[in-house]
Amino acid sequence: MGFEETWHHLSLGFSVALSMQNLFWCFIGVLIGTAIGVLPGVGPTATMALLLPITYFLTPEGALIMLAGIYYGAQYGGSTTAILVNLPGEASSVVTALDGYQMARQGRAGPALAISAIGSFFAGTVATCAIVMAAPPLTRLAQQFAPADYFSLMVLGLVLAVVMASGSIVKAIGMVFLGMLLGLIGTDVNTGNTRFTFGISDLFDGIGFVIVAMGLFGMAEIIKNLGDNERRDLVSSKVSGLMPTREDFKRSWPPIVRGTFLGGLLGILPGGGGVLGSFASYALEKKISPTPEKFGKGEIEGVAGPESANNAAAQTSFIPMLTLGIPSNAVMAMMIGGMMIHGIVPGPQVMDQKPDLFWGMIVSMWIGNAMLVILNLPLIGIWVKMLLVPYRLLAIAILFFCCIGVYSLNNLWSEVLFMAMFGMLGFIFVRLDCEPAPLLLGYLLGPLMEVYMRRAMLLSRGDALVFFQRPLSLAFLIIAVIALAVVIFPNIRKAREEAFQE
Amino acid sequence: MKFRAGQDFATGMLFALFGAAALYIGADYSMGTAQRPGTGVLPHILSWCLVVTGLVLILQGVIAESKVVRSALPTILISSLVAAALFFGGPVIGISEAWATLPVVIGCLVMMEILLPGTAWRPLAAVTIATVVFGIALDDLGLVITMILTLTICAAGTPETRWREYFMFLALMLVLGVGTFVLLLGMPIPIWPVRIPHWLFFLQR
Repeated sequence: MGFEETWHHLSLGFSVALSMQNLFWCFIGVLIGTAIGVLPGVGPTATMALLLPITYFLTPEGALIMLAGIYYGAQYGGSTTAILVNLPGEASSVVTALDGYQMARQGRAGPALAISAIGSFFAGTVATCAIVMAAPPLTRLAQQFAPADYFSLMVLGLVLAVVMASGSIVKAIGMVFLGMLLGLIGTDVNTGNTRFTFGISDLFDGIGFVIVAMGLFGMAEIIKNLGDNERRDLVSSKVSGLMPTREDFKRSWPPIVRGTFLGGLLGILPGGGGVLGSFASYALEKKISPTPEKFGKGEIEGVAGPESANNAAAQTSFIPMLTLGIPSNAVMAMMIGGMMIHGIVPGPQVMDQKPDLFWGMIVSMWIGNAMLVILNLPLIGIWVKMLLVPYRLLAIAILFFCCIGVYSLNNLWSEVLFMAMFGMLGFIFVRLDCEPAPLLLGYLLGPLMEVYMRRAMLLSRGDALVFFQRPLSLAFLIIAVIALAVVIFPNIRKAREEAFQE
Repeated sequence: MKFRAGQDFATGMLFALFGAAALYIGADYSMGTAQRPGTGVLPHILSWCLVVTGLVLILQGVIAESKVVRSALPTILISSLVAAALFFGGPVIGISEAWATLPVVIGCLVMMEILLPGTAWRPLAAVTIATVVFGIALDDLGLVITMILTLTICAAGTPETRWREYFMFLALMLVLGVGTFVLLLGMPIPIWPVRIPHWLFFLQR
């Protein structure tokens, strides 16, 4: 790949991302993202599900740029409240609260916030470059995939999602099976027979992805949060002296670089994303620090590393989605849902067929990151005030938006009832400690896997060995088996549990 | 985790039930040939996988702490007996065997309360009912009435609701809802009631 080609891609991307309309949607996206990042109990997955029906009114570019903005905006917003009021708005900023809040108590909230913003921006820039470099070769590789390779790749994706899920592995496996089974509801495209429809005509096209996602994430979250009796105490701390000292910079830049690379690598893996990156980075910084006993008492390294890592991971998790069309976590599943609403089939062909969409979105991520730095630092006071909105009112508003959002998809009242069912199911899963993300991935990939399985079987004239004869397919399956074996092997499982507990 | 064994057991039951139901419903889907796999291939494989996963979890739960699980046994026994009676006896007396799902669902809910006490039933019921009401009311009663019903039911789901504050919020949401979705986005929803819904048949003359 030549330099000129990269330059061509980037200039195309900038021309799309810098149009007034797309700049506006990017801004709206990061604004909403920061807001929900600040609010505990409202996650990016649920918000994106909520906004999917609305993106129908936008251009495809605007829709995807906005959805992406929500995701990485949430990473920024989550750390703001983690540092200021010890309330991690998102799971990925839990570790930021450890040292960030201690810094705030010592009157150093300003430097903590500034370092976290600078680290995030650096990580976002590097990760965007990584996407630009990695996308074309990966796409070219993916274009040579045969149906059997695709099938095995999806098996690998689901296995890795299971491996990365926190909690019981058996449960995660069951959730994948259940998701795939639910995905089969509706008409079988190959034969025209209906499956699991109970003769209900509104089920013949299957249950929309948005409905499942809103029920499992949006509604279940409302029920769970209304039932929790945790009170939010607002401890306001004054932010003074935003600028970090020279000493702070000197201590922060190595963790920022390490966090960026660690997070970037972990973000590519299915099931990874921001959470794993920030936890791993914190563990790393603590391990190599000359003064590990000071961690948790306001060490700036403990803010710089994880904050860079979660942002880098949030960006690089777009790579498998953009190049292979395979979602690596629930948020990427939402992005794919957004593409499908606009009639774009996710996969390696997107880069060639919709270059303006593809490169525009990538460049918009970098622009969005810059917006976030500008948006966040001066407006911190406003974001913290948002915490004053009581959840009892927020919950009602979210439920209403879920209902009207689902209704607006097809103007079908029955789909609102389906969402209610998935909401109940989602809450039961919360009670049973089952993560819904593997189910959602199975739901999305199940029908696709069936299509590729059928194509592969047709091409091989009914020989199931085809999945083991193609080298790529065999490699994917072997990696999947190794990954499964690794987690089932007791020693490593113990280490994994410890890592999740930390 | 305090409820770990109970959680495993209940999850296992859930998976096994879903798998078994899918096997029963999908029993007559065609399997096709190896070269052209039919409608039933993937459902069959997945159902069996789900059943096996469920059984593994049930076993894990029983091994980890049989005492907790034993407390759920009467519920399981009674609900499966009633379900079996409806399933096999229902068609004889002229009702669908699908009614057998009712005791299963009730049994599962009771089991959840036994195995995992402290479930937030109030928000669960309120949020679910609010959503269902939204679905069945919107087409007939229009957005305003539907919103008042849905939002109020949802507000009743938590003891924290302060009603004076809520009604001010409701007024704001009504303006926002009608303004954005009907007037601005032009969704084809009636604002005011258009007819007496058919499920209120006793009001119709």
